[in-house]
Amino acid sequence: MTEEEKQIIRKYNEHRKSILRSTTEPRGVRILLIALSVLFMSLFLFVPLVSIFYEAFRSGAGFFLRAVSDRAAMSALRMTLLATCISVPANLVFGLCAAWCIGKFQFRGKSILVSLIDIPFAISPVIAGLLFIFLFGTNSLLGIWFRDHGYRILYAAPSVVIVTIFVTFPFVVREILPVIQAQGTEEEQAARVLGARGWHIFWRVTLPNIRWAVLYGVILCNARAMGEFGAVMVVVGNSPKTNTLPLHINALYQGYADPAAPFAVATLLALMAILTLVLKCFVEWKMSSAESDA
Amino acid sequence: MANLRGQKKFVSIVPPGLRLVERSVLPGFKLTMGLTVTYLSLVVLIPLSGLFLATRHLTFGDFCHIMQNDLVAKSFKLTFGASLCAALVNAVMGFIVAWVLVRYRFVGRRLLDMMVDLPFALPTAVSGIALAQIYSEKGWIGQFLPIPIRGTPIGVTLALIFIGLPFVIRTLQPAIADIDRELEEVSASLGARRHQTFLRVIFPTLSPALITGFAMAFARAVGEYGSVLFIGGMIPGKTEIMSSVILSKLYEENGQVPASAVALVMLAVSFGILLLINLIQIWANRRFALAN
Amino acid sequence: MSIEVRHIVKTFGTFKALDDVSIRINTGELVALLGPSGSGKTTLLRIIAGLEVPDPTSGPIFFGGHDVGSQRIRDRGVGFVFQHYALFRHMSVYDNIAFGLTVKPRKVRLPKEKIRERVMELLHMIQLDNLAHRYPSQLSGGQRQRVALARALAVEPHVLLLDEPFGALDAKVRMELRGWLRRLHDEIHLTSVFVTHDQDEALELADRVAVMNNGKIEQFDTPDNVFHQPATAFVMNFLGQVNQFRGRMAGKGQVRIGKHRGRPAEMVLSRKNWTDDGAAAIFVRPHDLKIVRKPIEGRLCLPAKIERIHSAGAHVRVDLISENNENLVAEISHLDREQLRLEPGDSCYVTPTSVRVFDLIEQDDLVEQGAV
Repeated sequence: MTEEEKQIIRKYNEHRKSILRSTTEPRGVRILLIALSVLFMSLFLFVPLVSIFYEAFRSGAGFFLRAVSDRAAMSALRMTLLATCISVPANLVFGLCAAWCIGKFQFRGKSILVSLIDIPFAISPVIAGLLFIFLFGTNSLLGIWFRDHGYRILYAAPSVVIVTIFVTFPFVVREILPVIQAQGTEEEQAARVLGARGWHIFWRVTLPNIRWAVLYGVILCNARAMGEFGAVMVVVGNSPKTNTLPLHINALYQGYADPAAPFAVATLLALMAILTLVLKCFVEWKMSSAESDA
Repeated sequence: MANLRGQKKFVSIVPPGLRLVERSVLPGFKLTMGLTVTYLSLVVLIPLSGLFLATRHLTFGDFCHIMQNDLVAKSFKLTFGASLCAALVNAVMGFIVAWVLVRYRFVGRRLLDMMVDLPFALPTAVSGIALAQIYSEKGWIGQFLPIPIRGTPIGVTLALIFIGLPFVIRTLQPAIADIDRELEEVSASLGARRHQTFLRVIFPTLSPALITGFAMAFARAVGEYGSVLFIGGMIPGKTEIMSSVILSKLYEENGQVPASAVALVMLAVSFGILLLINLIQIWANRRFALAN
Repeated sequence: MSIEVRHIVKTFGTFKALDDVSIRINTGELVALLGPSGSGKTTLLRIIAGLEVPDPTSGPIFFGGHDVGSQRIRDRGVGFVFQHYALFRHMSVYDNIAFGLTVKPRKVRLPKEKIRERVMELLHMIQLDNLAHRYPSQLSGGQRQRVALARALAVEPHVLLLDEPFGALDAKVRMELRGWLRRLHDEIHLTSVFVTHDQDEALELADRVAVMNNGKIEQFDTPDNVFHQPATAFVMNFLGQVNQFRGRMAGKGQVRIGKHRGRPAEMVLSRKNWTDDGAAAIFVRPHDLKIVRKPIEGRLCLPAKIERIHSAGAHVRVDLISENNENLVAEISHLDREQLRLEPGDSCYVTPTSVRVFDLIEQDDLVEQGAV
């Protein structure tokens, strides 16, 4: 490199720096902020996540396998899957219905309806559980009716399912609604003019446009359904038979089991969480590329 | 038949302003609306009304008496104090992280961005035991700290920071991305230094999103139970938060009324925050939207 | 203050936005950078402002003889106005205009009272005295752009740079604001450069117009000259409507256009001696294309067929199609139309009264020019 070229490059870099200086932060500040963010996120997010796996395998792989495959863990897994498999589809159907009528029609009281749908987000899980204690409790009409007819709701599987539906209620609709509103109704009207019937319009026109948002909502809904703790704890009380995975972790942690046991079970849920994050990323990428295609 | 129905629609004499639903050629309004309202009522509204029914025997005097109970009052202080601290830490750190994620390009940015949602995705019981473990006296982080974390209000706050972090970051990120670069350029052309641009142009533009994120993190922290249970231990009078008070009251004899009283306060706070967030959004839309 | 840039090159990845651009703008001049989108006009403006860095091989940027290339934007003393105003939405009109004055270092900052006076003066200048406490969202587009201009002028910049200043406004407001800006410039005589893709705006407003294409300045001259004496085929094509014929140069100052009854139609160009036997592009403006019923001896007359007549307007626009299937447009007066009794479907002849010819070197590359 000749002296002249070097000088040109030096001058250019100076120039570049001077311009960047006025529209971005100085280099030192940028590095400091990045370092601070990485450190903070590592301490608060990475370290806890890694520690789960570390603790789980501390007593050896054999112990880990026994802990995750013992009868109580299996029963808890079954209960979690039961609650998830009912609440996610139920909220999916509701989410599609609600998004269709809110997103495609103009009517009075719409904003009230939207606020009502948001209620479970605002309510603390413990209070959510409490609501169902009152609803099906021994003093309530419903509670008495169910007891007289021989159904057990509280402290049994039905209440686990119901309370899970409650806490995951807004997840799907919240994700679909903005997308369906942004789409407008032109495509559906065009389909209508071309003679398509209701189901056809939904199936062939609307759903393809919102499919990633639906998946996104389902992923979030699923993560919350599998992981709900406080609300389920309230309605289940101390009955080990109806423990879900999070409750089983709690029982192991509070009990006299090996300290690695709750972490072993927790790895199942942590894996689910990691899978959720990866899927979420994938769907976000899909959604943004679908948006830029449009 | 279809034709007849079409004609009937045309002679409707309801003036447009009074019509409940605007006419649309799309089908399915009645069906989906019916299902939505039914499901909403069954799952949310009826259970919610149950709480208010349960408190019908609660007199104002009783209510005050319950609130003045030493343990209840202490749990109030802890819940709101720790939630406020956690939300403040989240607001500051969340702002930095969101800024870094949107504005800077560095190795591992995507991974960091993905990890932001971990507190949403990880069940609270799992994050609870993990936090309790690493902050215990022999834990990975706890062993380096001069003061105990487990079983103290600091532990409670740490757990609340963990679960509230994504709210601030996720509300700020789109707001930062939406900032018009031209605003910063114009500010520089007018002679402002970078910190002046930040304080006087960027920060005020982001403040509605920041307040919204802060309020959401705070609301979530007030209602949190699972992650606090393990690290805090719910020691009555020390690390017991309101959610836990509700639970322990429930197991007492005639505990339903006090439990519902505490729950009412929490509900009022939650709805108050929800209202606040909506008001901020309306205000910000009015002030900041440059509708053409 | 004069502005001069020399040999500016700017590449974005593989795209060459500016290709060795040099321009000198005199003190007090109002200059338009005109060109289609992607021609590099905004990039040039942003480089002058200091919002963009030219490539390392570029030459210097002078403001009044001083090289400002390594100065930051806030030290350059430029007023910059964006197409979408870039007003601070959380500040009132007053605070927006006062911004530049209040961010000055304490030592050189004016006292509050003086700032107030200056802002009120500017508000008066942009005729918005009563709206000082409104917020940008409460203003119309034209008002917002005037506030943006006042804000830029508040700091008394050496040069004013405007990026598509009227681009986001509707037609009527645009016309008003155009006239207002011209009058304002005549009053304050601040060296100003504005970017536009609207030729009317450039020709009406500017003292000189730089027509840009593909990262190069094709011509930099007065509005009259760029319109009447376009330097390149691109400028000819870009400014106003134009009919284009393909032909061949036949030496002796002759150009052949197409064929007429088996023989090439020929036209003598008096001023230039054509040495090559190359392809040529012949441009005729619609108002330079005369319609006649019968061919005139000694003139180039091309047979054509009338397709459509648009008579709603000051002139009559006639769409024609030539024998070689070229679409032509002629602009004639209402009187001519009546005298000739033109109707769609009629056959007639067109004869150019003034043409400009450009060499076509290698396929479509239009370079040199000739004149009638």
